[in-house]
Amino acid sequence: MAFSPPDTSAAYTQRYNSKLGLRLFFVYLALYAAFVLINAFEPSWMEWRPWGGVNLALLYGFGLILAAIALAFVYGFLAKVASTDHPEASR
Amino acid sequence: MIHEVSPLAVTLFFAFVAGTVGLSFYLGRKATSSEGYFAAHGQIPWAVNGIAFAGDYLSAASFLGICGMIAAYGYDGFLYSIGYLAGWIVALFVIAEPMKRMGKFTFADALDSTFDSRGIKLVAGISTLVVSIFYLIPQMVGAGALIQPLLGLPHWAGVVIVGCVVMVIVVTAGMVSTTWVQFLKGSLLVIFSLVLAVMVLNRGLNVRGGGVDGHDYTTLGPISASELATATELDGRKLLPDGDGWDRSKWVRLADAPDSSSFTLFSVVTDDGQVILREAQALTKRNDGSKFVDGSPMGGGEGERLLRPVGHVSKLPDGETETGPVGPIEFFRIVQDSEIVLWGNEVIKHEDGSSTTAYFQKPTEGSRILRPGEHPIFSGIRSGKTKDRIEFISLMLALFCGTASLPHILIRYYTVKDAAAARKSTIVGIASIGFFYVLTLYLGLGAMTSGTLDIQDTNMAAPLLAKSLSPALFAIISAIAFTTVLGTVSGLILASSGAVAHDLLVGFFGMKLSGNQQVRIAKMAAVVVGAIAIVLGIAFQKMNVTFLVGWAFSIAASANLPSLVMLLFWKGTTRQGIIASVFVGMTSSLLWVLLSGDTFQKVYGLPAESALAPLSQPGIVTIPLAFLTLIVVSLMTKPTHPTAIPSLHP
Repeated sequence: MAFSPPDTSAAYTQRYNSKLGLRLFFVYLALYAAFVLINAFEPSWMEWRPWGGVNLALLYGFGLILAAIALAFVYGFLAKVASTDHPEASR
Repeated sequence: MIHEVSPLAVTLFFAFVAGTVGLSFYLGRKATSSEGYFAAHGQIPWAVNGIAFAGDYLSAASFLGICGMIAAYGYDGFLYSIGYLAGWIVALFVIAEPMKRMGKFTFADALDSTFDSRGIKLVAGISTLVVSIFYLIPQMVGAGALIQPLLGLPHWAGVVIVGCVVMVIVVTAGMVSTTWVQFLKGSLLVIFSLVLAVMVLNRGLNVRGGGVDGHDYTTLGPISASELATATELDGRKLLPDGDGWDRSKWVRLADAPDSSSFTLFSVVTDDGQVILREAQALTKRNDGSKFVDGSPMGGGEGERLLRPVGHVSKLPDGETETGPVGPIEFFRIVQDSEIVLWGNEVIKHEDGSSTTAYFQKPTEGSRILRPGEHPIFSGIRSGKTKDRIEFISLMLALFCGTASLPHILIRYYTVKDAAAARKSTIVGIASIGFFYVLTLYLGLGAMTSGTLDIQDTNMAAPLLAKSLSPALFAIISAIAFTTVLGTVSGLILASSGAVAHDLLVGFFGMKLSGNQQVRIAKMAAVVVGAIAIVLGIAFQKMNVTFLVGWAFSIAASANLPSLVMLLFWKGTTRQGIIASVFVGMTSSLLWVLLSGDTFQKVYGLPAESALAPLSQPGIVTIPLAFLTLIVVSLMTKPTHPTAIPSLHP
């Protein structure tokens, strides 16, 4: 079977990165939306202490910040770089 | 509260100003072309650009406003931290790479990348100006608030100094100097916030009777309510008479000496027929502008009084009096099980037109402080009213959508060489900004329990926390806080000047300008916008910094994000759809803000109930409205040849 080099064309890379970005975006959106809706409609849930004697408001809040950082690194690790990814080529 | 001017803080402040201005002149020769002035030739390393993102974004609202809100109310300030960071997810996953590919200098470039439309350039340029000016106001107000304790100068002087320094930074070297100022500021802010947080944990928590001035607040009682109603003396001191706004069921004033006008104010707390009197503080403003604290002239001289610093722990778990050094999780656990004295205030109107603000103690359980819904902005979530819940959702939506719509953030994507560098710099930005926001809760709660809070101005919480830990740290943090304002204001003025020169004059009016001429006009525009910012910063002195930023986010999210997102993800987007969306999003959110209850009350001085807009936060209506406008107008103006925007949809 003939070797085919990975497709790093600008169009393919844009499509791949765009899809990856959207998937990660919706993961975070779900986490954020759940946080906002719990606060808006069941704020008493935030007083529950599920771990370490610390309430859900703190755990969820810190969790959202850490999730944003973690997802950003996942995206940076999985995103592809186009072989023609420089301004002159992409403009 | 009047702060003593620290010579070290003043020296460091002028060193920072001299350093940033010197750097700008040094870099000035690299920014003579339009590519250099507006986009630093696209040659900023991605790691530097990432930290500059943090320097650009972590404004006075983040450092001063959020820390102050947490220090005064607890967890609610942290909701802003969460919302501000969440917005970066939209920036990274949706906007960053296309923005770099589509644009050149400004937000309008990206929006207009496939249409070459004068109309798009016009609305995008105006939208950039409106959002930037709304965002500039709180930054300038923050600068004025900072300069008072730092240099002992009035508020307006701080605003003028910031305005002038920023004009020099922007005019000399545009995006090149702005980037490096923001890089330095972002680095210093995160590093020294970490130092502060570590010192807070190392100090732990202590039970005290008052602030760091050594005064322990007195509690009298319990006595019966009927006894209080008829008493003429208490604790061996004469009760001053009721009337002229004073009501004994709420306030008791005990004369400090038989013939003295000075008194000690107590708030009356009634529980099951018994009354407890808690020491309070009174600030009276007379019609001639003079101020009195507890009946004595305000000041630090003989016979004068100052408002006392506040913020102390009244009970620790298990009856302990001090914890010693604590871990990062343990810190929250202890705060949650402690009782902390927060302060409320009430305005009492007098017959001669003068007024007294009575500040009173509110011993509050830590479990309440570390839950959402204690701040007036967020308290509605516990009211059970649908309107209040929608208000909360609307604010959190605006924070989520606003970041990726801010013009001064968007133009930073043009300072790196390609889309991959734009992505990497955003990741660095998210990591550093996220780390800072984690620290805000430690800084805010540290300030809340430090005994140094200024009862009149929560914006000073972080610098005053530093003061309670080390005078040198106060000097450094104050200087960094000032550069915080410089970095963000520089970015905003640069974005505005680009909108005027590049989008409006060249793009819309069709003026034929060379790169150098564009730069010259942009510099003139920077001076004009800087002057406008100075005037607005003085005019809006009394407005809450974080609150104003919330409005800027709502307008940015409504005006800019819908068209940018639809351009990227819907092939049916048309030129007319984009113009209509930006116009409707901008005007509807702006009008909404101007007609909201908060504006009526805090800006026009009218009753909030007479406001025409049903909510204070417009995002939940105006963001979807802008999306809907784009879809409807695009469908109505669909081209007969389906060649809409092929380059954006590979």
